[in-house]
Amino acid sequence: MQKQQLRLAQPEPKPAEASPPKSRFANHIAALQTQPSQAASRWQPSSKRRNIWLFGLLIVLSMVGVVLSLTWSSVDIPLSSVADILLGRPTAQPAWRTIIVDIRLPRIITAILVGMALGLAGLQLQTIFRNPLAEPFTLGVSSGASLGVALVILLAPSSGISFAALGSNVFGNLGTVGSAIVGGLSVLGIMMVVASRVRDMTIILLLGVILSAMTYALVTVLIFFANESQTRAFVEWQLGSFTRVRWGELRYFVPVTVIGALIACLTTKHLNALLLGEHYAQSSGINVQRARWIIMGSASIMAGTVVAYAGPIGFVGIAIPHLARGLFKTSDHRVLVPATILTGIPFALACGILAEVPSSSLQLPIDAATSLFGAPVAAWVLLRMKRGAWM
Amino acid sequence: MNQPVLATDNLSVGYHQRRGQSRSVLQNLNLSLAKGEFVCLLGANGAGKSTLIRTLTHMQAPISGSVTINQQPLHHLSKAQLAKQLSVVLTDRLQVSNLTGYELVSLGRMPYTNLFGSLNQHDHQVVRWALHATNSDDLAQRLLNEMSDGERQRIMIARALAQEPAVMILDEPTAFLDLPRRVEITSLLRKLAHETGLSVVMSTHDLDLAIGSADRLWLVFDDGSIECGTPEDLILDGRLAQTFRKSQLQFDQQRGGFRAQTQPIGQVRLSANGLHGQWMQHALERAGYHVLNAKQADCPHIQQLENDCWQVEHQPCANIDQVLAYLGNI
Repeated sequence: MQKQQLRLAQPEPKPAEASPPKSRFANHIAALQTQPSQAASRWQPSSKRRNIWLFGLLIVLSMVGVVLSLTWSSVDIPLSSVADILLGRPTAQPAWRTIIVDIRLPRIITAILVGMALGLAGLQLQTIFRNPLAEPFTLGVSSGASLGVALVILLAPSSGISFAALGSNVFGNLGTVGSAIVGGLSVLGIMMVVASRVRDMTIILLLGVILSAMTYALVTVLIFFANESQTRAFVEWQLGSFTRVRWGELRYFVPVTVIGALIACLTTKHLNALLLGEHYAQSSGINVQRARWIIMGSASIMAGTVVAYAGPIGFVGIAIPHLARGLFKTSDHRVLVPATILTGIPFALACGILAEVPSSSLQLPIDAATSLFGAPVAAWVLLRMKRGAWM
Repeated sequence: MNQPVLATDNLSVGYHQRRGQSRSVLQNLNLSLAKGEFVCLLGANGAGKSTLIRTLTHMQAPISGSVTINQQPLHHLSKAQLAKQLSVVLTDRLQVSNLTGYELVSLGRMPYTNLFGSLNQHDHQVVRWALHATNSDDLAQRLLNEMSDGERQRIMIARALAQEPAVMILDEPTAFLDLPRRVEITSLLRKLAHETGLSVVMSTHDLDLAIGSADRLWLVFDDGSIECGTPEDLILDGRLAQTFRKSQLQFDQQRGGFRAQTQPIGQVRLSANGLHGQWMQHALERAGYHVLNAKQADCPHIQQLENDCWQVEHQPCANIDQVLAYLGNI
């Protein structure tokens, strides 16, 4: 009797294998593993190797873009001198150091930030709006951000504030960036509320156009009441140019954009969940409402900051994610997020090189150059949309 | 032990309207779903099937009453907890195209993966099993936009299965499929339920399919109630016939199908058996004749001959077409 009780008190014998996390269909899954047809190679995505090659190629393209941007400009500086300057060695022409360090390097960093930020923001917005033509510009986020900037530049209490002075002014910088982000997020919020009621993507895009027109009208009204120097500063800002940003601005531009991009990287799972639409996302345990606000916040931070420093730039946000999708042939955001960053950098560098006509002092407005690249891509996307599957 | 996996307690579903008012579509539902059971939710279009499905899957709040899954009310579960118990296949149109079957099924592992959604060894095993269990091994490397409608449904079922749920709920999974594909999907779901212990609810308006495969039917009535039972019980006590009584259709209790309710254009007597006899009767009924078997006077007599030919009132006919033509001329 006592012996029996003792035996009962003993712990149950442990299963031979350490069982994986509790699985409802463990028996069936285990049974499958023993079948010879389940060799892992059969399931290995064949695209993995291709993706690595593509990432490598894009990195090389980015480097070529950087080198070209450093050397090929209105003043031709030989590559060896560029290397000397970057390595801190003395050069024949002291003026070249100024051109490289104070003009070209900031311009390159700005281009990289613009390509990365607008590409990522476009990718995020296309997924959460389930709209292939969604991007900061078409949804009116850029206009909202412009309105925010206009409020700061045109209504700044001290009339002495001009954009040129913002670089040295902490409050000016953060004020401009902050108001651009808030302006962009406000427009996005309105668009999201509308999108939850109206399913038609054409109507949403038209609404973006209408909202842009309204904010533009508001900006015009603000200009009407502003003084001449404020107006000049604003118009100059509005045209947008990679060349304007200097190291002083980059102190704010870089960290804020990187924060936005980091948030974007953290939302890859949510973006993937939203690929199948909000209902499927919800049914796989995602808090859709919260995910949307985080994604919209990240997109607004990136788009707003770009608008604050480089002006409203159109079509890049459509072109880059679609180029990345076409190159990598996937909808998986775990690939698309880095792919968009790495496609965006050479794209924006190329636009920057185009904006600067070599061996002349002419300089195209940057949004003209980006539209030249981006608009055909947007048109191509439209033409490919016939079957409704584009992601 | 025999607790239902999914149950509703005096559930009313419908729409919340403005000013705190609500319009209920289905009322006082006390449904229960056992482990490993395959249930078809059957009802006419617009009867409230989708509303019930949205409520059962926690996409819409009930007007009153509650839904429990393994004895826990849905609204007490977090979204992630619920996702480990319940998965869905919806009618939502997919816009995504550049995704392989394997990647799509991997999305079903969302409730189990970390912040970045990366899959571990076990997740990969589950994905492979889900593909295998839905006969979708060959879809693993195919892109979603290269799949047929039937293949898409299979891969969406595999995705739902990869969630390792206790209950899978499907909204009209056979709606846009041709007949062989419908049978394929239905028998797949039935097999999954019976072999793995998964409980499956599938809404459909396809009566034949439901009668032929469901363990039990949830039958939606006009008055907003739902009757539950085996298809056979529901046929025998006339409840199935009652569901559709408003329409111009007549439920044929013998064959378990519907016939348009029309006045017969005449009577014929048929002496035949076997496959040929069965289809001759089918043809005569389709043409609108009331077919008698017993010997009765005053109506044309159709006889089956030895060589599968026919004779109508001494007139030989080679096939059914000629019989119908001759009858039409009388």
